[in-house]
Amino acid sequence: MDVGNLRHPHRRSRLGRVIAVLAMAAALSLGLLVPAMAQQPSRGGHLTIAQSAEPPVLDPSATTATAATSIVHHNVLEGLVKVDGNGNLVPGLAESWTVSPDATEYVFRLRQGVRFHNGQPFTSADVKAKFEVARDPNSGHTNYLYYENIAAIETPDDYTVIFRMSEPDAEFLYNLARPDSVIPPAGYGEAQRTHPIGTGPFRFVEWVRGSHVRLERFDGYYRPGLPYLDGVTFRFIADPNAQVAALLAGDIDAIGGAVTAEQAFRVQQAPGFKVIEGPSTSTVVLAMNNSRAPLNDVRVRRAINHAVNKEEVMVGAEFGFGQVIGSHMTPAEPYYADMTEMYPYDPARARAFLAEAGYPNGFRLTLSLPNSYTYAVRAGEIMAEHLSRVGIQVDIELVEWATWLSRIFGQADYDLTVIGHAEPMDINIYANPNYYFRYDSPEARALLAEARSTGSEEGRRDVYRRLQEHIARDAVNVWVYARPYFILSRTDLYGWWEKLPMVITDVTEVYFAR
Amino acid sequence: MQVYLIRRAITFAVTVWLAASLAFVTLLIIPGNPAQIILGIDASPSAVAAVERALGLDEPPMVRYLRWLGDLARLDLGTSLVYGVPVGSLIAERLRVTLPLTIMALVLATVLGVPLGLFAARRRGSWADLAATAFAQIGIATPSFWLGIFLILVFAVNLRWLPAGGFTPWSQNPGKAFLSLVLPAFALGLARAASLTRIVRSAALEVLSADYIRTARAKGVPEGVVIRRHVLRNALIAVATVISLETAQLLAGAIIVENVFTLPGLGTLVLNAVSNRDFPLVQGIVVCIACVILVLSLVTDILYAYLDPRIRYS
Amino acid sequence: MNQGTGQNKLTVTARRLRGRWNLVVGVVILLALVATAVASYFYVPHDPNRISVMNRFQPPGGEFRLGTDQFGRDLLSRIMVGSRVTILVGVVAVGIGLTAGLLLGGLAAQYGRWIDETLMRLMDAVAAYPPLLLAILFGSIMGPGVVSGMLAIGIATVPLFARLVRANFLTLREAEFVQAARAAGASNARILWRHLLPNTAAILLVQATIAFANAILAEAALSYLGLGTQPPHPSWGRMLREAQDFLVFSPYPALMPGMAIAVTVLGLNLLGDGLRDLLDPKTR
Repeated sequence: MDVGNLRHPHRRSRLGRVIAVLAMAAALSLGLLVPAMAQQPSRGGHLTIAQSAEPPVLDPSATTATAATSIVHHNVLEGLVKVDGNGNLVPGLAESWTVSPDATEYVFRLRQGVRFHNGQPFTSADVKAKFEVARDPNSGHTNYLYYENIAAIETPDDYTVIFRMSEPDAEFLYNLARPDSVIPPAGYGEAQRTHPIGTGPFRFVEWVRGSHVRLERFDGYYRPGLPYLDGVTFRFIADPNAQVAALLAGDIDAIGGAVTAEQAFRVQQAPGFKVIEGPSTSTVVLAMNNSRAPLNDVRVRRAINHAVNKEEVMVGAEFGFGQVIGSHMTPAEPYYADMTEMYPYDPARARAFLAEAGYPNGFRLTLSLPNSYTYAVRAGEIMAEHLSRVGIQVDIELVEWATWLSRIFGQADYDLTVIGHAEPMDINIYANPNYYFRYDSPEARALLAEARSTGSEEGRRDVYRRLQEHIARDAVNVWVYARPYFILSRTDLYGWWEKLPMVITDVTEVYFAR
Repeated sequence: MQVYLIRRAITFAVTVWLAASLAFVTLLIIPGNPAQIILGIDASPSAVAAVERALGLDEPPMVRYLRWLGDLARLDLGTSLVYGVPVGSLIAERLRVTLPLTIMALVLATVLGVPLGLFAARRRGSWADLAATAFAQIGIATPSFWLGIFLILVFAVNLRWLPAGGFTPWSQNPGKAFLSLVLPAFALGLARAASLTRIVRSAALEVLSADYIRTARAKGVPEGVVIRRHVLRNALIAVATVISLETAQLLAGAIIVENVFTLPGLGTLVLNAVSNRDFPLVQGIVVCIACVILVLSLVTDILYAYLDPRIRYS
Repeated sequence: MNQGTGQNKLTVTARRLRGRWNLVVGVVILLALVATAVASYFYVPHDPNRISVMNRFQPPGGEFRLGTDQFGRDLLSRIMVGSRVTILVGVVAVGIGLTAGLLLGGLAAQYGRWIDETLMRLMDAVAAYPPLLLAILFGSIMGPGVVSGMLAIGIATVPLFARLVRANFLTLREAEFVQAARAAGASNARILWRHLLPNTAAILLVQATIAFANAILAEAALSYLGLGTQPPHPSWGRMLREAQDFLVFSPYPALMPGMAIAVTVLGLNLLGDGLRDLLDPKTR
C-alpha cells in the first residue's frame, strides 16, 4: 500500500476518511504517487532506519520487547517456520513439515547446507537444544507455556526433527513462528543476548548502546541473491520530531516501528519521501479489572463498552488511521471474526445498563495510563471524557512503564488502563485467570483447549470465532481499535512489507532503486 | 592545608557513599522489577522468577547492598542488570560524549554570558543593556527542546551544514565527532549563557556601586583596569559558584538535548537506568556524578581563595 | 559614564525612572497572572477539559479566542486554569529552594568547620542524586501529581541556593563594613539582618527568578514523564509538551502556552531587577 491509504480496505470513520482524502490530495499535488514496483531489485547500499526504543537485550528468547524483535527477527535470527507478509506460514529453517491428524506429532525436514554466522553448520541438534531450554519453566526463557505440550524431541538424523506432543496442539506450528522460537547455535549461551548469532540474511556487527545496532550482509545466506542491501543500521531516536528531522536531513533513510500518524503526515508532505501504511496486530484495549467492584458486574462492563465512541478515539489518538475492532483479535490475524456490531456507541444504552446494575448516578474510577505510550495516553484521555458523559467519573493517573509493569500488569492493582497488545494470536490470555484482566471463565478455557485440539482449519476458525464472541459477550475489556502500522521512507526504497502480522522490520527484500 | 585536604578526602568518600545509598534505598521503595522489564509483557511468571535468580534479585536487599559496597571499595561498579555489561565501561563510554558536550556548552555560556553581562552592567539602562537583558530573558524562557528542533531544522534540514543528530565516535573520525556536538552544545549552552548574563550583570552592578570602585575611579584608574581588576574579579565569585553548580546539572540534565539529538550521553543513560530500575547502573552514575560535583566544589573553593584573598581555609 | 554633570543628572533620573518602570511592569504582569488564576475559579469561556475532536486545531479568533488543541479543547480556558499550576509550582519550588538554601547556606557560612563541611557535602550528595529519581519516589509515595513534582523540583534547587548564600556570606563577612560593624560590637543576628541578608538579596532574587522559570519548564519535563500534572488537567508545561507533536498541523497549541511562559518569565525578571534596585542599600 503506497502513499497513504488510497486502496485502504478497512472501515474508517467519516473524519478519518476526510483526513485521508486530504492527505491523498496533498500527495497527488506533490507528485508523490509512484508505482510500487517500478524497478528491478538491485544489489548494494546501506540502509539506516530509525526506531524509537532501544531494547534491553537483543535475544527474543530473553525478552519479548518489540524493540528487540523488530531488529533481529527474520533479519538476524530465524525459526523453523515464518509468517510472511500476508499472514501465511511459510518455510523458514525447515524445508517442509508434516503434522499427524490428531496434532500430536510434528515432523520437520530441515534445510541442508545452512550455516550460522559463526560458520557452524545448522543441524537438528541446534533445534533440540533450543526447545529443551524453551520448554523448561525455570530456564528464564520468555514463555515456556508456548512449548509446554512438547513431550519429547527426537533427532533421527542431522536434518530431521520430530516433536511429540503430550496433547493435541494445533497452535504449535504458529508458536514456532514466534520471535521467541528463533534458533541460536547450540551451546552459544548468554552471549546471544548482546551478540546474537543466527542464520538470517544479516549478521550482527555492533551494538553501540544509546545509539545504534549495525548489521551487515551475510554472504552465506541460503536464499540465493538475498539480501539486496550491504548492511542495515537501526538507530535509536526517541523523539518523534527528531526522527522526522533526521529523515528530512538525509541522515536516515526510513522510520519504522512506533511511528505516529502526525509524523506520517509531515513526511507525506515532503517531496522525495513516501508513507506505507498497513494493518498491524496491535490490539488497543481499555482493560478493566474484572475482579474489582463495580467492574466485576458484566452490566457495568457492557455500559462502558457502549459509552466509548471508538471512531472518535481513533481520530483523536491516531488521526483516524487504524481499524475499529470488537474483540481481542485484529483483521491481520488468521482467525479474525468481526464483533464490532455487538456494542455500538450508544450513551443512552450505557446509562440504562448502569441503572440496571444499580448505579443510576454512576461512580468514580481511576484510569492508569502508561505515559511512555503516547497513543495510549491520548486514547485514554478521550475515553475518560466519553465515560464522564454517561456519569462515570474518571481520574487519570499517568504511570511510568516500570510501574505499570509491576503494579498493573504484575499485581493487577488498577481499575482501568489502556495498552496495545502487539503480540499476534494472544487471545490465550483470556484463559489465564491470573492475567491482569483478572477474567476467570471456564468457558473461555474450554474453548481455547478445543481450539488447540482441533486439527482442521475450518473447525479451528469456528472455535476461535466462538471464543471471540464469548469474551465480547462478557465484555471483558473494551477492544477499541487495531493500531495502524507505518513505514516512512525515501521514495526510492522498495520491498517493504505491506502488512504486519508480527512486530518486525524485515529488510531481507528491501532495496534501493537505481 | 594538609589537614584540610585529608578532611576533604574523608568527606569526599562519605558524600559518595551517602548519595549512592540514597539511590539504592529509593530504588527499593519505588515499584518496578528489572527482570520483568527485561522480559517484557508476554513472559511467563516462572521466566521472571528465573531471571530474578540469575540477576541475584532474589537475595535480601541488605546482602545486595553490602556486596555492592564491597565491590565499590575495590573500585568495581558492578554489572548492569539490564545491559549485562560492566557499569564502569558503560559510563566511560557515555562520558566521552557528555563531557565534551558539557565543556563546549559551558565555554559557549561563559564566552557569551560574561562579556555580555559585564557590558550590560557598564551601560546600565542603555539600549545595549536592554538588548542583553532581552536576550537573557528570551534565552531563559525558551525550552531547550524547542531550540534543539529549531537548530536542526535550520542547520541540518535546510542548510545541511551539520548532522541532524547522532554521534560519530571520536576514534572513528574526531572532526565529525566534534561537528555532531556543535548543535547540541548550542541548544544546551544558550540557556546557560542567558542565565549567566543575568548573574554577571547583577553581580557586576553590585561591585560597580561599591566604595572601592568609586575610590579607584576617583584616583583616576582607567576604566578598563577598574573592570578587569575589580569588577570582573569580584563578579567572578558569583560566576564560579553558579558555573560549578550548573556543570553538575548539565552533566545529568542534558537528557532532553541528548534525546532530541540522539546522543549516546550520560543523560539518556540516567533516564534508561532509572526507568529500567537498573540498580547498579543508577548507583554507578550517582557515584560518578557525585565525584564530579565534589571535584568541582573543591575547585570552586580554591578559586574563591584565589579570587578573594580574604577567604582562607583552615 | 562621567561626561558632564548635567547629562549625568539626566541619566540618573532616567535610570531611576527606568528602575521603577521595571518594577511597575513586572508587578503588573505578575498581578495579571494572579488575577487570571483567581478569575479561572469563577469564569472560563469553555470547559477546559471538554473534548470535541471535530473542533481540533482551530486557529485563534472566532468561538475559541486563542484556538483549540489536538482534542478540540479551548486553549484560552486551559491557559487560564493552567496558570494556577504555574503559580503553585513556581512559588513552592522556589520557596523550598530559597528557604532551605538560606537556612543551610547561612548555617554553613556562620558556623564553618564541621557544620559547614557536613552541610555542604550533604548538598553535594543531593545535587548528585538524579532529580528524576526523587520525582518518581515522591510520585510513588504520594501518588503522581503536581505536589510530588513540586517537592522534587524544590529539593533539587536547594543545593544551588545554599551554595550561593554560603559563598556570598563568606565574602561579605570579610567586607570592611561588616568588619567595622563587628568591631563596633554588633551582634551576629544584627550583622546577619542588617548587612549579610540585604547584600545577598539582589543575587538571590535574580537566581530566584531564574529558578522560577526553570521550575515551570521542569514541570513540563516531569509531565512528559508522567510525574507532574495529571491529564486532563492543564498546566502550561504539559500543554507545551503535548502540542510539540502537532507543530506541523497548528502552531497555536504550542505557541500560546509558550508565550504565556515567556511573558511570565519576563514579568518575574523585571520584578527581580526592580526589587534589586529597591532593596540594594547602595543604590537606594
